[in-house]
Amino acid sequence: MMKPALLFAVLMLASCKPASAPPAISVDGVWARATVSGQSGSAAYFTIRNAGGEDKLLTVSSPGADASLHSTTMDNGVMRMRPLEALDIPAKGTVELKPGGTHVMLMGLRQPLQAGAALELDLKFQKTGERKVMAEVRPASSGAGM
Amino acid sequence: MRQARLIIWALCAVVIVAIGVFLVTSPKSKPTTSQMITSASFGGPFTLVGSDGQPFGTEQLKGKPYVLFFGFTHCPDTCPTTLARLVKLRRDVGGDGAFNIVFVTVDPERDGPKEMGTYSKAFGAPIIGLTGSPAQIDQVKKEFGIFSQKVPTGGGDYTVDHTATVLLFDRNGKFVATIAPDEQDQPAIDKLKRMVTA
Repeated sequence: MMKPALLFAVLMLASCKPASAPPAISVDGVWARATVSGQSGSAAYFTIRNAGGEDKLLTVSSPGADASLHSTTMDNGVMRMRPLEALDIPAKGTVELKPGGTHVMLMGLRQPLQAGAALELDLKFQKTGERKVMAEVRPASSGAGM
Repeated sequence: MRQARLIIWALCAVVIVAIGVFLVTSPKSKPTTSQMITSASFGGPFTLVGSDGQPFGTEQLKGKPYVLFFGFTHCPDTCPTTLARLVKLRRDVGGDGAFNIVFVTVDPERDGPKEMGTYSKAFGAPIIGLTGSPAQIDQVKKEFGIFSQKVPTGGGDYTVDHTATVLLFDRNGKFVATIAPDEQDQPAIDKLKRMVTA
């Protein structure tokens, strides 16, 4: 039989269980592929580093385009692009958005993306909240690796 | 007597092993895509429309090896990534003149000769952009086993799911190999080198 004092202590400890550590997010290597006139779509890529607890990237938006998170998958040689609900950022983890994989799809570009210019991206994380980053527009021939 | 029985058993063993070897090495009854793609009937001559609005046919590609890739100019990720990669691999193999890169649209409704011309110039190296009537494009897709399907993205806009495999042809227009979209650089370079020297 547990003594009431001990039971109390156990309950206290249980309720004191620390909440998971807050995320510590940094976003780097942000770039978007240049486009030519008439081309409505492009993509942006970046790396998310997390030194803290888990988080989730919920949405990406941009004043310069209709942005959305997409994944590219290969199904027997057929490329398929599908919207992503959200992107899990694991604790102490790194998530890379890169050509041929997960990317920010940019549709309905207000104007062509010119190499050397910058495009604002607004990232919304579940815990970290909003982060504004600037994507460097690189020549179309960039990102040749899959 | 005993010796004869031993010989019969030995013969049986040889037959069983032979059947096993045959089963293991004989072609599977269900061919994979790459096996089907290497069949002799693959591809064929085509006539499409060049970025100058003039007919462009396979005979204009003769004399130089070429790679054929299908996509569309509004493609956000895979097409520019693949074209950028082909330009880089071509430089690794022997420079911008080593072979032709031919980019055929699967979205002829949006990609006219002008769009193909502008887009093909965006990669800092020569790319031959081809379009055609929807019927012409359908015919070429059929000949080369290319799948494509429009996927609406809202607001009347759409992207296109499509086969992203690159097809390799030698200087005589003979199909020699494919490069899968997720294939590593080194095997891809090896295939391109073989295509160039074929």
